[in-house]
Amino acid sequence: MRETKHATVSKRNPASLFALLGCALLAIFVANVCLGSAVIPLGDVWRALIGSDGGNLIMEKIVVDIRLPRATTALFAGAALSVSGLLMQTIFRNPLADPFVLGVNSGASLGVAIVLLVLAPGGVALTQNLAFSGHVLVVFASSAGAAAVLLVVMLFAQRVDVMSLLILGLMMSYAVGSVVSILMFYSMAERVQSFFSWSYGSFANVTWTQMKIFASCLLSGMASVFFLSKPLDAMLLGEGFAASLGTRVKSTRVLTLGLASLLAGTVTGFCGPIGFLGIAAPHLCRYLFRTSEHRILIPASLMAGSIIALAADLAAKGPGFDGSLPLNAVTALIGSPVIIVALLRQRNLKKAFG
Amino acid sequence: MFRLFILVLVSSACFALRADVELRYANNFAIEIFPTHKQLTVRNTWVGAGDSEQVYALVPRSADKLPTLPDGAIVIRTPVERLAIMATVFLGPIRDLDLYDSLVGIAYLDWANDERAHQRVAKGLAKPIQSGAAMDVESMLMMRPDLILTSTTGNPNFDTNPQMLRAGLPVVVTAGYMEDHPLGRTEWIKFIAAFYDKEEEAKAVFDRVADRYEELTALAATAKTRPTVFSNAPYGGVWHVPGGDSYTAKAFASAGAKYLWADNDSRGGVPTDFEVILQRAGDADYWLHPSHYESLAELISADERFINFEAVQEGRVFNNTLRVNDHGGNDIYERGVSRPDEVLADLIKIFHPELLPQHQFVFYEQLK
Repeated sequence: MRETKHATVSKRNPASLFALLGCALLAIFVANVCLGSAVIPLGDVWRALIGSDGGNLIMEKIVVDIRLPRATTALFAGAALSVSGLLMQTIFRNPLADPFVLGVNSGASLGVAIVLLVLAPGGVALTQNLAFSGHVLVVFASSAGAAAVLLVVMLFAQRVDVMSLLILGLMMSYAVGSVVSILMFYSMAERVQSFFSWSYGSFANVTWTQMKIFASCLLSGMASVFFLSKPLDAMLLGEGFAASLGTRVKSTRVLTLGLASLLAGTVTGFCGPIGFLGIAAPHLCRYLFRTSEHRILIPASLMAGSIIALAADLAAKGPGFDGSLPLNAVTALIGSPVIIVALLRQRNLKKAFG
Repeated sequence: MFRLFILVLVSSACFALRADVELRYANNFAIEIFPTHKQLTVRNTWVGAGDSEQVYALVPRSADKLPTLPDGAIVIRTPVERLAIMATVFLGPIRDLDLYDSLVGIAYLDWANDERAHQRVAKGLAKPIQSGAAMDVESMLMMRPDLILTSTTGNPNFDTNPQMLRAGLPVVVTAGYMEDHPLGRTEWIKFIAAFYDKEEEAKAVFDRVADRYEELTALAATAKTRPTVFSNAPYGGVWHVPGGDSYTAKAFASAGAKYLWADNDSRGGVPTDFEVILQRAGDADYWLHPSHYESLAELISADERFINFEAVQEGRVFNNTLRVNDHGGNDIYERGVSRPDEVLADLIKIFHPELLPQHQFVFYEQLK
């Protein structure tokens, strides 16, 4: 696959950039495990991680059962959202596309709204008879909602072109969103509050048991993305052009949208609707690497997404303070200035979109 | 007698007017009796209310013309024959004073625990009311209530009283939830009784409850130990811990327990990370009010990390879910407000079972 002619304005060495990203990722992951609301000496964190005896049992539980899964969740969720955003931007050839452009998050929020606003007030008996409750039920509802919307959009994807699909996704979001508003309208303040707290997003809810499902879904999804890098490069030049190069346009489109939505839907299911990351991380990578090649952008987006997610989570935890901030507010707050600066320096986004 | 005198002095000092109905704990209302009518004054209806007061004039139906009233007074004709309530908390006094026959409208019916209220709706004698943003003024007018009891949050998106007032509906905004003592909330039974000329009954009901509450507080103070306790459960990864000035914190203190967040000075909930809770409460003796969970298995399936709390390992987890009916309504918000002595007795039974060996739980249950 030849490079697009604009992609090499100033060649950067990808290897050294990847090394840099790798170091940053490692550093922020370690910081995320070491720092938190509870003040734990670094020595204790280390002892907890290597599982040596004689450590404080509560400290060990905090590190191993709370912080480590939280940091791991942020690592996977950030990577998945960011690569999902990259796929969407490529398929729609639109720099404003994000993982939720097809409405998976509004589907997820409808699922959660039904559980929290309709079923919960109807009595707890409902969850008692099922073997799961609390977060597991929310994960289930939100994934089911996301899957339902995705199914409908995929049916559309067979029939219409990409631009119509964008609008169809938007319409789905509006329609589903309005059902959620109606549910909220008729609900008690406390219930609405609990729905809001889901919509703030959080990496703190995935336990080790759930991690098995969460991580395996995301890892298989992210691994599949690598096989798409060549057809995706062709897609950037427009579907007609890609077809003339021998790309199977329709199947690539459906497969890519399916993968991106699967990744975004899984993350939304477990962590709530986390905005910003998916739209911002790919732009950051385009700026850093000065390229539109997916062979580079895919791994770069994975890493950049993880870094942003871990940094945002660290800021949201407010190390040393008892409280915490809503994750969704923090991601955009710390992320948007970075993106603004990058875009201003890049000045011409069209280059990256064929 | 002397204490009573002081109390009267204090409560009249708050209002600088002649309070004709003696109040022991409530600070947010006063009742004056005149030959022609009664005047109820309400203040502190929400957190930002400042020192604004609202006067309600209760004028008998038989009176041909209105007496001279202060500016801005709202007139309610008594005794009330058609009552609409915008919160389930009013069902406590309705039960204690047997006012069911006047009840024609109930908001948040699904949350109401009171069986007789549900029966009235089932028989078509009372209607459910939409509340909050969904409130519909026209159906409120069709209901023709003589009195609508409500409370206000100061949040225009939720508060319906301004709309109802504009429509000329007889709205009375109460401030029971703003009282800072459980018995202060309970004493609002006297306020509601005034609309029905049932002051004597209300006083008898309240005095019984208040006397028992005071006895129980004294009893709890004799306890030798003070077990540690923490409260609530996380939602969305964040734990809203009741502040050190909250109702929950005060109830724990009265029942002779050491609340682990007593040092915090908030009245509401404080969002706190799971890890901080585990650090501070990992070895606490008791865990109370874990959200809506009613069994240990359910609790642990919600988040396996709860097993790390000693209180869970020892099975010392209690929730006030004993009186939740099929509608999902929890009586702790109705009977619990009118009978804080029962709530306190339950808590003492939890923390110091030896002090109340005969007491049977009313609201609380131990998670099995």
